[in-house]
Amino acid sequence: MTQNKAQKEATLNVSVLDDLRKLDRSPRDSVVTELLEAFLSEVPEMMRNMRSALEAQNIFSIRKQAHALKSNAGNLGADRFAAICQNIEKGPEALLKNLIEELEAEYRLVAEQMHQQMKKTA
Amino acid sequence: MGLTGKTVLVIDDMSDVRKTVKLILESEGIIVFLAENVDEGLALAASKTPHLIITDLTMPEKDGFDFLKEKRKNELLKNIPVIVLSGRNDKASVTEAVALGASDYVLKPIRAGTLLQKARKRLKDQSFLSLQFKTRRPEAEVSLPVEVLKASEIGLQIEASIKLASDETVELSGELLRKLDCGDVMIRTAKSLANPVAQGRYLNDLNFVAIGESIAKRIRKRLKDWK
Repeated sequence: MTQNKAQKEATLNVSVLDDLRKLDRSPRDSVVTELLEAFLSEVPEMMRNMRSALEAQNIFSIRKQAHALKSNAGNLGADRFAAICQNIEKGPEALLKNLIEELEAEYRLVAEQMHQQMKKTA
Repeated sequence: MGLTGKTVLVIDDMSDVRKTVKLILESEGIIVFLAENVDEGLALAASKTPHLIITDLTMPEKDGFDFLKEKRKNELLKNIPVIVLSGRNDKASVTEAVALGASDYVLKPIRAGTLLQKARKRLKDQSFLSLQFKTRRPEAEVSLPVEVLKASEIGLQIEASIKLASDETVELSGELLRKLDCGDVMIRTAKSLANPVAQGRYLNDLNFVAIGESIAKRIRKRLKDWK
């Protein structure tokens, strides 16, 4: 049920980035670019930590990582990624492995679209 | 209304949140201070006395609830409005945050329009600033919301034009202060909050803390009686 809800969300809700760009007075929207770069550099490590926590069966740590990732992604309009994080944070333990795999796949799509967005700005 | 020069403290352990909120607020000319944990936030709040504080709830070690508890015990900080910015959308968190004195609750993910609208509302509430007097007469220890029109400092004497909430302008001169027996005039401004009995040394800072209307009525009456 929650899975389906995540599927309905956009990989990258561009209007969120556009809204931030409108506010950005720095040359070439550098703050937005910086935020995207930070996301792309920090998130892979957070996901690796989540994967390690899964292997160690540290459910608390998995959910904590998911909470942080959810905020990170949502702020930049990676809505589907954020929704999957929400499922990991609140969903049943039995689904965690599948959800983490789903998140890893979604990340690849998000990263690709974010890179395109950065090219648009550069 | 212009928010240029208003000050906002943002407390969040996540650097992306701090950066995003800063970007949003600075677009309105707001001066933003950033803290990545509660202790740093309390220290910055005391030294900068911002017009508004935006805090996260879920943080390692001390969390946003701890911040709200400590802030409201602190005489100098308790009147600064707080907007909670959190991903926690459960009723219990909202209820507790409001019970602990949060003025507003904004859900993450951050959306620029919503956050600005809420911040603007809280900052607008403070178009009247406050000035506190501590006189030698304990009964005359009062605070009032005033709009400072002009302020200057001559030695330890204070001169300021203040507009009371009733739209009446009062020259807050050394003479008036003497009439008020204000030997220990306490001007609580951004900097003097950390060291409240500042004898007007920081009067140029014009960054006062909002205080309630009932107390304002008392000083308004006293200013009329004694002028």
